[in-house]
Amino acid sequence: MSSPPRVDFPTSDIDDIEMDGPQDGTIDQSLSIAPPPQRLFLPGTPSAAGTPARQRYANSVTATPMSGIAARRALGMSTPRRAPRTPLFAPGSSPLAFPSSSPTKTPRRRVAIDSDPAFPDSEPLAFPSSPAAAFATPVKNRRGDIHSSLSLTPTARPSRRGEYNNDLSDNLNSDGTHLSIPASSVPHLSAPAAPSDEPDEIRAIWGTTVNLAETMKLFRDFLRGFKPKYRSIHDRQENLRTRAFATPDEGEVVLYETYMRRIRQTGETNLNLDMINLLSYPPCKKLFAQLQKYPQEVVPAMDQILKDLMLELADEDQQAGMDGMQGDQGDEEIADIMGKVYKVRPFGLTAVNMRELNPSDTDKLISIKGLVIRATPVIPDMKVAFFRCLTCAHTVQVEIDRGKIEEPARCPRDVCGSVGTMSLVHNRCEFADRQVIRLQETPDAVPDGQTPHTVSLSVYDELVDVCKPGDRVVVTGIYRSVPVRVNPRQRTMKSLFKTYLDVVHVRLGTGGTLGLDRSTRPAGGDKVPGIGGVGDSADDQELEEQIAQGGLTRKAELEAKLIDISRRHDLYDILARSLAPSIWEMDDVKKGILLQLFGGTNKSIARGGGGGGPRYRGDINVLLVGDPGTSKSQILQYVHKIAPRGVYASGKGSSAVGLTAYVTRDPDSKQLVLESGALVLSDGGVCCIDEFDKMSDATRSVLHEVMEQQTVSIAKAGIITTLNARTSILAAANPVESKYNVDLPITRNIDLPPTLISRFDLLYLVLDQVDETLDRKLAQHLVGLYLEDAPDTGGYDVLPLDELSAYIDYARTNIHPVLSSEAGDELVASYVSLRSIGASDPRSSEKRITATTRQLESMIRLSEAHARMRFAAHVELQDVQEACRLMREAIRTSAMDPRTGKIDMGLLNTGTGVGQRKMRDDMRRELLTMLDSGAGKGKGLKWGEAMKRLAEQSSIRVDTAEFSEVIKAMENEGVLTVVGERDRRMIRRVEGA
Amino acid sequence: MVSAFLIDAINNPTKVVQELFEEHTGDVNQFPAVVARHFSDVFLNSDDTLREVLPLDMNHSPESFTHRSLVRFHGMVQDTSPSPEMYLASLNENKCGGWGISQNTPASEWPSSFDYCDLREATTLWAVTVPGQTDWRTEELTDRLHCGSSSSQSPPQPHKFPVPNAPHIGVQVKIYDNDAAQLLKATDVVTFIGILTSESLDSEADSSPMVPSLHVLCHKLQSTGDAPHTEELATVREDLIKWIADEALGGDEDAAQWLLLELSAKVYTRTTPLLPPSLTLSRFPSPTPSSPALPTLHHVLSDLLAQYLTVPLSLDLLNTENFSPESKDEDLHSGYLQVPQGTVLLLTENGVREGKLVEKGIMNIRAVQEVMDAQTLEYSFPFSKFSFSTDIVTIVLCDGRKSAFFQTGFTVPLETKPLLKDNLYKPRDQIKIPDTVKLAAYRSFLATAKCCFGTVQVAEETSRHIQEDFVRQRQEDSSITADDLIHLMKVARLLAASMLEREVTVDIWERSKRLDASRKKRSP
Repeated sequence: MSSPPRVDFPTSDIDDIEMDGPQDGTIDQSLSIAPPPQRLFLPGTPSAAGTPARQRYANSVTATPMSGIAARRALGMSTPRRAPRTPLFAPGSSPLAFPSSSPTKTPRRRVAIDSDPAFPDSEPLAFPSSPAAAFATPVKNRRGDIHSSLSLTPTARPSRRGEYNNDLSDNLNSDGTHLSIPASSVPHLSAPAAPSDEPDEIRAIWGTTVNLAETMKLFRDFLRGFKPKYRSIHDRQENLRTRAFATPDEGEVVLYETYMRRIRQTGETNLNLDMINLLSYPPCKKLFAQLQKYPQEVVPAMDQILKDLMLELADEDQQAGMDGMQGDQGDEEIADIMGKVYKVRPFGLTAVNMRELNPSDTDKLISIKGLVIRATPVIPDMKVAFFRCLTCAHTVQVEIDRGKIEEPARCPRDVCGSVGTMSLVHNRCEFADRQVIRLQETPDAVPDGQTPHTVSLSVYDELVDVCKPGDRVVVTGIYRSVPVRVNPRQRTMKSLFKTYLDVVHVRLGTGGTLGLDRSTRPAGGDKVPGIGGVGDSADDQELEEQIAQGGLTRKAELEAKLIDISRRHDLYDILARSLAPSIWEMDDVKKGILLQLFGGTNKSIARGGGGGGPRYRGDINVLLVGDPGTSKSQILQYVHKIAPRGVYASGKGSSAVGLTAYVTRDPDSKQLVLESGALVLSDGGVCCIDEFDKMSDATRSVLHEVMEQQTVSIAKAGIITTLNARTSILAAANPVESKYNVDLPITRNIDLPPTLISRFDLLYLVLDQVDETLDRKLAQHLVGLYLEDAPDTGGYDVLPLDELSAYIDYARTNIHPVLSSEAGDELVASYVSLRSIGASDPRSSEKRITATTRQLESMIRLSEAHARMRFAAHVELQDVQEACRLMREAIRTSAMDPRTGKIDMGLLNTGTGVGQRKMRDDMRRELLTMLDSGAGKGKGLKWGEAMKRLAEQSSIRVDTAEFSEVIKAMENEGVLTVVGERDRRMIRRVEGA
Repeated sequence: MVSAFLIDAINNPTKVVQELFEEHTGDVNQFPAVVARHFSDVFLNSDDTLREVLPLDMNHSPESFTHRSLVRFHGMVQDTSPSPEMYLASLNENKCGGWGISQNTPASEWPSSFDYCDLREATTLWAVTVPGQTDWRTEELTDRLHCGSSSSQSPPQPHKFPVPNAPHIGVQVKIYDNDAAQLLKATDVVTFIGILTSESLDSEADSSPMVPSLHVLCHKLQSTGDAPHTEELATVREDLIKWIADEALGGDEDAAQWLLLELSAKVYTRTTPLLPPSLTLSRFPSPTPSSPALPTLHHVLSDLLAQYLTVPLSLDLLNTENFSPESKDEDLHSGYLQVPQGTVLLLTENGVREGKLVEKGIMNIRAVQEVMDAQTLEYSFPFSKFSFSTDIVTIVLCDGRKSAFFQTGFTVPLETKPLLKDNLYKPRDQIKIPDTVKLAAYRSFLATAKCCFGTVQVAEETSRHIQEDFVRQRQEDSSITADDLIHLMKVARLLAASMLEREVTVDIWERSKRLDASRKKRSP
């Protein structure tokens, strides 16, 4: 900080000369800074300046190298040999950008001012008292998000100079301050201090004790010194779970230098900065508070430091001869960096509810979360207006100030001075992308009984179009209150204020309580698309999530509590009991659903085909079939409440579109948009479908794809796409005749295709049986529930809903059990024994299929879920045993052949059980005999008569449906034909068959 | 003693606020609470002082008041979503800036510079005349002392009133005491006292309509207080049943008794859902062309209940009108079902003809069904739906055997006596209205019954009896399910409440079984 006074920049005029770089003048100047090899680099300049794409960066080109030097000097480092090139870049770019304001056209003025690339002319206009302000302007790191105050507080500039000639109380500094003060109608919006010549004051943010130079130094230290270990120390202090480092070295990496190199390599310009990292780096605690309180000053300062450091780092790397940074290549890189505007995008503050924002937060950095409900199209936002005098063609640029452009009333040229001749030249103005977004409170944040509030967000540049209506976002931004003019024609303002947020960082997709299964998302998929900035992001995701959910310590407390619960010996029972405590009994059903909520782990074969190989679902699907009035819907509703991303749909009411995705025309944009339905919405969660049997076939057919492939394919209105629907399905259905007929197999009782039924891992029959003791208990439970004041919850000790929900969420995100070899053996054994139940039956000659590989997969999933519930890293014997028990329970009720009393998975998989198949064979044999025997020979048999005769022979009733099945099968084989319609059908034997 | 304050406050509320501001020495953040306390002391302590303030209602339209006069407004909070408004809490020379004072200052006097530290927030919400508030209740509240001119103008923002095209008052309410305002929820019924002005609806928009705006000095939430339980009311029950039966239900006393049970219901608990059941009066004939369109029941109920609304269902109404509130362009449009807690809704299906029900109609029916089943109403917002709890008793009148659209808790087929058949539809003036004392007794009886419903208990002995009973019935008839038990228990509870009993006794249990059995016998 104590670089020697620099005599080489005594006045602003000279600075300007240097900036616009008339060759002769500059050399002297630059010579004084460093040795003069700049001429050597001349060939490099045209490329930087000549590319049209760089035009917009012209301003910063001029500005930043200076600051680079400044920074270096401030650190007392040796001045790099590259520094003097600076002036060479500037001249190249400025004439290109502003050809008309070349020095020759306005000879009257000091050369410096007129030719200054940015908008030197605006200064004298706006602040006639400080004509020497020219130098100040070149810092045009215009950020939309900070813009309204940037013009007031060119903090980067004064502070930079503060560092760079901080012992020089030259008039440069005072220029800077002259510049900002008059504009700040709102004093506390801060600007560099009063127009005094004392450098100390200049470096402070107005009205505070914050010393900008110090702030910048702190941030520089931070970028140069922060290592992940600080974060883990901090997290430990806050009792947070910390990520373990693979090697001790990992904690010692200078994190932000890595990021900066990555920025350079990828050509990014954004650095996402997790503010918690600031807090955990001991020297920077102060900076955290400053950034929160004075973002408009601190953020530009940070941008500046980032750029300085980028250059510095590039230089170091070049010196070190790093790969890709050697010689000319390195020079090019550095030139490239100079041409860029770097932005620090801070985030990581605790998100508050938008209701809690109040006027005292004005101009502070805050973070809120919400739901995007509307986004305007991109609005070109004028950043710099370009005026030309109609009389003398003198040009002037005016920067936006608090959202409006002050039109110059008269030509600033003394000679001309004509009033009202300044006209706007549109194509010479500078514009930025801007978008206004309406953010609404998410349902979980709204106080009970109130309707949600909305707040406006202004997003700029790269953040435009990052969020779409419907997204849940956490935004970090600066809260603004701006006076409103009640009548636009009136010049005065009334004491009404509108508030909005200038957004600096957007993070998409925090579902609040609706945690989603992260294993369903590709790694890093949660990174903000579009701004893809380098820096802290996905890794910190979980921690942020915790912060977002309110308070670090509370989360830690909860976690400790959950782990406590997981150690209880009656864990399984208490969790099952806590699930829908108002529903009596049905323990196994509850346990099955509980395991569904935990879910198995999703597996993909990494070395399989392309794209990581196929993925095996870990989602467990459960179907409840049962008599009406057995509280199936209640269970579903309950699950919907606690499940991560739970979606509830009633089969009756939902059309195919409701359950999948549909195409509509967006009312605002008139564009076709794809709106996803329940299944896609519940991606990574549980979809509860009530009245499953009443769903239309078309809708149900969609489920085939969803339940095994876990995708939804859409081909509508020209949009063909496949959406992910990695969802567990919990469905409830009533039997066909509303009451379950125990004499019929389950497939006949539920009107569902067997292919669909077999996709359910667990199928429970919830039957209403008359049993005195059960009835008595049920009555007791209900009477207690509906008549007494303290409802009996079906158990003494249950977890409250939110705790259960938190427990499940925690397990799903953090526990990923793998099979132990012991468990694997047990699974094999159980599967074999399940299959052999049918095979080893001595009474029967034919084999029954009792279990298929689908059941094996289900068993694996269930055991994983059980292990997950125990917070165990490995699937153990007990998990498999419980999974098998549940499977057996479910199979016993659903796959039991009512005729034989045996378990037969064939019933579920093909819809016909062994007994049924045997009966059909008999029927077929008899029918053939009948046809071949005397009566029907030749002309065939009447349908009705065949039925009647079969019934006479058979001891059990002949089912019409069965009969037609048999006939159909024989027809397909070509053994017989059916002619005629309905009652007049004739069955004929095909000759020669 | 209080009158000096009272007169000052009524004549020039602005001045009183200004004086309070000057006297106020403490934290400026506390000032709104101080104002609220001062005016509450003056006005809200007794009904008499409250009545001194001119009411803002259908008879006293906002246009009939002079600018910045003090009014009281008894209304329902319709929408709490407008963003809070920022205002300058103090202007130059120690002048108070809230309560619309700063907006009212001429531009020339407005401070050229201000301090952002003086910014404060005011909660903004939209309130409307209480929908479904019956005439006698309105009279009771306003006392009709001052009969002003009824406004012919159509109210601003008509889409924010639940009943479409109905005359009402809609007011933008600004509450400066934020802590108190946080407690106000949608459909709450509140009495506001404040300064009436006219302001643009959305200060941020360039062109937005001018709406009446009430700068609230103090407000009071309507409490659902306990009605006094008096002994003589017990005798009223039979009279009331007979009166309803004879006047409106064609002499069917059973149906009238079920109606009475239904009117005694309210939400008991939500944790284990014990909600008011819904009632269908089936076999209710359609009006003949010569008779009035509305059943006599409508007039009878509106004479008995404080909160009552008839929705004459028709395909057209179902297909076009909103039943549940929906936010369009960040403005919450109201719907028929957005009514205060404790409202009785009469849905008449007699007007429904054959035709097509479009998607909106289906959604509307689902919304009503949702209210019947779960007592929740979904407000639609873009990309999200918010479930609000309601407490609405629904009664459906239908021609057929059961309601065409809804599944209700009870269905009671009407059996009219031939002689009294005509009284189902008759104009209001032909109803024999009992004398005021009796009518008052009826009203207070119904209010008391509703209170009782919240306190009915079940004795140990009775619950044992019920359990035994259930087990026995199951043995006899296996078709009886747990649902039947739940249903019967609800009936028992309602019966106890309608008899103003505090406990379900074995006797009541048996009576309710008989009552339900006779109902079942009627159902074909």
